[in-house]
Amino acid sequence: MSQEEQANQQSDVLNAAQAEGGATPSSSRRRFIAGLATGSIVMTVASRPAIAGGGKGGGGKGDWKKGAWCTPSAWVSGNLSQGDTRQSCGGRSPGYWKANAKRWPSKYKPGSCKSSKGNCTEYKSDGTAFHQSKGGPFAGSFFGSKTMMQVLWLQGHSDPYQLGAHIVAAFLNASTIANYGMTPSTVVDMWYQLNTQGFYQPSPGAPMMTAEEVVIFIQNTFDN
Amino acid sequence: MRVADLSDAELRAALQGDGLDIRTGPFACRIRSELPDIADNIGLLYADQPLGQSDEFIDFDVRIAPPRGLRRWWRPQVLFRYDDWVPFKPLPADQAVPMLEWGLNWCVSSHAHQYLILHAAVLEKDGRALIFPAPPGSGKSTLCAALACHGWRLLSDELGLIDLQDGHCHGLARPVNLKNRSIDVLQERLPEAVFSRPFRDTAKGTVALMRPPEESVRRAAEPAMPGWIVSVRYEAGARTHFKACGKGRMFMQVANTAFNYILLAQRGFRSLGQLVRTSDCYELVYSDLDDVLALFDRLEPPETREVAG
Amino acid sequence: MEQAERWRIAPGYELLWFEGDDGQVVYHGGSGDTHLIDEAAAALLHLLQSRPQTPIALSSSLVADGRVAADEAPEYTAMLLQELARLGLVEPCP
Repeated sequence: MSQEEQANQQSDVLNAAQAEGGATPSSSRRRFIAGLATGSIVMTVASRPAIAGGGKGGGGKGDWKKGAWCTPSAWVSGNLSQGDTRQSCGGRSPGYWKANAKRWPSKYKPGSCKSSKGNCTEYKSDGTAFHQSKGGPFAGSFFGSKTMMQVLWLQGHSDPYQLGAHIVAAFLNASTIANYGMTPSTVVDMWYQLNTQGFYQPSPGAPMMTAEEVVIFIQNTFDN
Repeated sequence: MRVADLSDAELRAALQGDGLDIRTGPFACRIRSELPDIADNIGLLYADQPLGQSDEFIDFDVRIAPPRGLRRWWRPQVLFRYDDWVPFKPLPADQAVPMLEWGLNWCVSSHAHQYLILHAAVLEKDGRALIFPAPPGSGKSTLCAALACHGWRLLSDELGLIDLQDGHCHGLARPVNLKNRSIDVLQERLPEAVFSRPFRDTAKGTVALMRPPEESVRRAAEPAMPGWIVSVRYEAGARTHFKACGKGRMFMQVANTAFNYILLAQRGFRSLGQLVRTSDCYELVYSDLDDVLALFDRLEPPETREVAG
Repeated sequence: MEQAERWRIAPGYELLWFEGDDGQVVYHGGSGDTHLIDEAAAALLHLLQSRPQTPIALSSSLVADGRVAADEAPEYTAMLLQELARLGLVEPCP
């Protein structure tokens, strides 16, 4: 069957559908109706703004959108669907905050280095403490008198899932990055809930996140 | 060697150990999972897929695993990991199998930028590709599954890969994703086909997977020349309407649904232009599958035109 | 719109074309946007690709090609230029 024959078999259903799809080029060519748009631009496929910054995912950076997945409540209710790409939230990793003590917000002190040589790998206890009881932002006593910087440096056995390190990084992100998706008090609450009840619920009735899921969520807010 | 040549114990050992390496179209995938549901369904749905060679480069290294949280027994969940990165939120453990499928689709659509990646179902006959671009809910997967069991070779139900160099269409021959009502319709129509159990309450409703026909898997490496692009819409009770449509609009529809058209910029524009130029473009509204199968039986290939250029 | 003002294709970016049987698709290398436009808009862009021109000159060419009725051509051309300028495709010469 040729294309023409196939076309001739049609009723007018498709023609009607086609007319609904937008002004046909020929109509706008012949007559111009004053007061209306010309209809000469029939449709546009717009490029989305690309966000700078790398990612562990490797590809598709140009598709990144700053957005909804940067908040815990959107994260737990989000749907995995075809074509979803990760979104840039602008966050920095624990590694960044370990290596860039000078970039910490002035309100929180990384403390001084134990050694004066080379890159610092061990900090003294003169920085801002992790727990509120020692003058820091977070509830409980899990990390004793360790400072925020010292928690960033803890190894796996004393910081399961690296939760403490990720909480500190998220807190510093929330304190320095506009539109990060979380405020400092969100991060404080996140720790409080995990510490007292073993899971985190972004809002009443929302799905619960385990400690490991919270770490995964926080990792997804990192651009580096 | 194919997946079906492994014993059940070997399949499980591979998935739980260093990984099961399988080839789907141009990609080598390494899959790891300790979940029995994943092993059962890979054995069922990927039976004809060739196993990877031991020295082969692995394009996508993925793992489906439960999170190690305190609540894993209380609220079982699974994570999709890609190179130990977690691109998606966890899903209920019962949805591990669809999650693997969606995750593998994501791997291709966000990394394989040597192709213009269409969100489309693609089939082949006599060397020419029949392309049904999305939108989802259009009935393209149903039509794709029916045609794949009716003399057309399945390239992909979800991802059309257009080679940026030569314009040829490449396929994956992976399981076909069916949703909701079309699951019953196809199970009834295609008694010889193999289906997974239904997975309920997913983000896309109830989902089931159909094993790709054996021939489509065996010939997965054979590309096809562009043939026809058909914008399809299922409409309950509608008479079949099939009509040539404008190539400008078709260009825009395909561009809108392609995964990396924007990313590829000028190369994407040129590649898509070549594809649309060398394909015949149609619109289809249907409700009667038999009618549509007969229609596609009679479809003539486009006049031979210069493809390169 | 100043009728004596000359217009040009926004410089620095390539325009790529795909000719459909129902309009022309144009890709703008600057914005990365793709537009389906009708034959009149395409003709105007092609005219400007050859050289910068005033709305009057453009309008006369569109009339000569039989694309627009003479009495409506000036207003039609002005609106086309505005729409194409909104998309970043054309601009008045500085």
